Amino acid sequence: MLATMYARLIRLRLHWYMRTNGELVLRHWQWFVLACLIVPGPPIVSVFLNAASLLAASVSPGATPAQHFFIATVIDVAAVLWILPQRHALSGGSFMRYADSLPLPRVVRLGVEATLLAVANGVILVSAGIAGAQILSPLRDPYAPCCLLALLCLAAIAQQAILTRRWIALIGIILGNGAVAAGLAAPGGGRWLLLTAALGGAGIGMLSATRFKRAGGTRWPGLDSGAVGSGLRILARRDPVLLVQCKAVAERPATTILRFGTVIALALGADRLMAIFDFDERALPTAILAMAAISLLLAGFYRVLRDARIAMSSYLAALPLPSHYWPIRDTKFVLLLNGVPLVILLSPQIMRGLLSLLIVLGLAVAYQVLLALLRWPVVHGGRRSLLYGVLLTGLWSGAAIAAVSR
Amino acid sequence: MSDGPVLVCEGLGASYEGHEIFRSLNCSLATGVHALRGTNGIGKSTLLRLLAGAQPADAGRVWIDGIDLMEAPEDAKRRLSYVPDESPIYPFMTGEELLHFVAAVKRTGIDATVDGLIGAFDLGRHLRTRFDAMSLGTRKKMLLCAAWIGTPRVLLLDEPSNGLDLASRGHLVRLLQQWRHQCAILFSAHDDVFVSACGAAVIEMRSLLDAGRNVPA
Repeated sequence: MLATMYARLIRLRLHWYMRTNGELVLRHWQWFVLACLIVPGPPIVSVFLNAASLLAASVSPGATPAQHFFIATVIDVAAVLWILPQRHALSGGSFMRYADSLPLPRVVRLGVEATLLAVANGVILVSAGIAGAQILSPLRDPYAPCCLLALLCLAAIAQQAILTRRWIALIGIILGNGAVAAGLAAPGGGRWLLLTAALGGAGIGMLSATRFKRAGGTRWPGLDSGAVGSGLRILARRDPVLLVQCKAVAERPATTILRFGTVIALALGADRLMAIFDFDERALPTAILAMAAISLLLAGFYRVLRDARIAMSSYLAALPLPSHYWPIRDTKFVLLLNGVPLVILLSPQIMRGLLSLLIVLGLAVAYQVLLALLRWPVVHGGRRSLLYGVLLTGLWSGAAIAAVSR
Repeated sequence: MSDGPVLVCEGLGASYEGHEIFRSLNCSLATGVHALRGTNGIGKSTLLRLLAGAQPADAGRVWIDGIDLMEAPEDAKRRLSYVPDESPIYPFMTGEELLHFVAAVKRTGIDATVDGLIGAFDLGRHLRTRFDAMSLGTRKKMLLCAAWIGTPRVLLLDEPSNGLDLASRGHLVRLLQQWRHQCAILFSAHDDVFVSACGAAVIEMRSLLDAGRNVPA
C-alpha cells in the first residue's frame, strides 16, 4: 500500500520536476560549458574529478579542525547554492498544497522528498561517488569514508532546511560540521562518538525546526516592519514602480545577495589588483574586464524583473502604459544598481588623477550602454542568452581596451 | 454625459491554441449596467480580457469612449478599468502599494470615491497586508477599489461578487447603481440575484456568439 502511494506520488513529482527543471537546465547549460573551459584538464571529466578531489580532501587527515570545519561549511554552501535554483521544481508546485490536505503517511512523504533530492543532486553524487572510490580501501581506516558520508548527509539536510525554510535546523548543521571536524582531528574511539553526535544533532535540529514551524514559528522580520516599512510607504507614494522593482528583486533574497555580493567582490577585487599593479598600464584593462564580468552578472536582474512581472501581465496589459515602458524602467533600474560597482571601479582612477575626466566619463557611459544592450540577449536570447551575452561583453571589452590603450 | 455608445467592439475574434473561442463578435454599450451571462467556458472572461486590452485579439477592433484601443491603447486604457476574476497581482505587493501604483500609472490620485470604497469594504486594516496573505474576498475588494481610480468611462468586471461578504456585495450593488449614469459597466456573473439587484441589462453570451457565427467568414 505504502509502496503504491510512493510510486504514484513520485511519478507525479518527477514529472513536474522534469518539466519545470528542464527549462532551467536548458538555460543553464552554458554555465557548464564555461566551467569546462575554465577548469584545467580534459573537458567535462575534469569538472567531476576536481570536485571529487575536493570532497576527498575534506576528510583527509593532516588538516586542523578549523580547516576541516571550513571545508565542510564550503560543501554545505555549495550544495545549497546548487539546489536553490531548483527550488520551484522541487516544491511540486501548487499541487502539493492540495496534496498536503491528503492523508499521506509521513514515511511516504520523506521517501519522495529524499528521492527527489537525490535526483536533483545527481551531478554532485557522481563526484561524491568518485571521491568515495578514491578514499575507500579495505586496507585503510573506514573512518574517512564514513565522515564523507556524514558530510554529504549534513549537506542534504542543509539543502532540505533551506528549501523548506526551516532556518533553525541550520544550527544543527553548524554543530554537526563542528563535530565531524573535531572527530577527524581526534584519535581513538571518541571520534566515532563525535560522528554519531554530528548526524544525531543535525537530525534533531531538523525535527525541532519542523515542530517550531508547525507551532507557528516566527518569520524573518518582513520588509514592511518598522522604519523600513515607513520608507517603503513613502516610496509607494513617490515612485510606486521603483518600489515594485525593488520588491521583485528582494523576493529572491538568496539570488540577489549572491549576485550583488559577487558584483561588489569583483569590483573590490579589481581595485585591489589595480593597486598591486601600482596603477600602471595594466590597471585600466583590469577595470574593463571587471566591468565586463560585472555587467554579465547584473544583467541577470533583467530576467528577475521580467519573470516577476509574468504573473501580473494580464492586469498590467489593461493599464495605460506604453509598450516600451517596462523595458525602459527595467534598464534604468539595473543601471542604477550598476552605480555602486561603477563608483568602486572608477573612483581610485579619478582620485589619483591617473586618467583624464573625459576618458573616465567616456568609459562610464560605454559601460552603462553595454549593460543596457545586455537586456536584449538576456530577455530575448532564450537558451543561448549567456552565450550571446558573453559574445557581446567580449566584443565590448576588446573594443574598450583597444580604445583606452591608444 | 453623451447617450452614445461608450464601449464598442466590431468583428472581435479570439482563439486558444488553434481552437476558436469566438469570431466576428460585435457589441455596443451605452452608459449603464450590463451583465454578461453564459455557461462556464463559453468565453465571457476572454471577451472581458479582449475588451480591456489584457489579451490581444485575433481580429476586430474595440473603441473605449470613442478611442480605438488598438490605435491609441494608452488613451483608451486611461478611460477603462478592469477587474479580473483571479488576482494576478505580485504576491509581495501590499494593497496600499497596488492603489498607489494604479494611481501613478493613470496619472491621477486616490480620490474621495476610492477612500470611501476602502472604508465601505472595511479594507483599512488590510492596506499594508501582502497580496499572498489576503483572502480571496479581500483581494477582490482591493482590485475593485483600484478599478475606481481615475474616474473610468468603462468598467469591465469579471465575476465581481465572487468571494465578497454580504455587506460588501450590498455596497457593490449600490456603487454600480450609483455609477450607471457615468460609465458603461459590463460584468460577468452567474448570480441572478446579484444581477437583478444591480438592475443590470442582461447580455447572453450565447446570443453574441450566434450573431457572430452568422456573419460570413
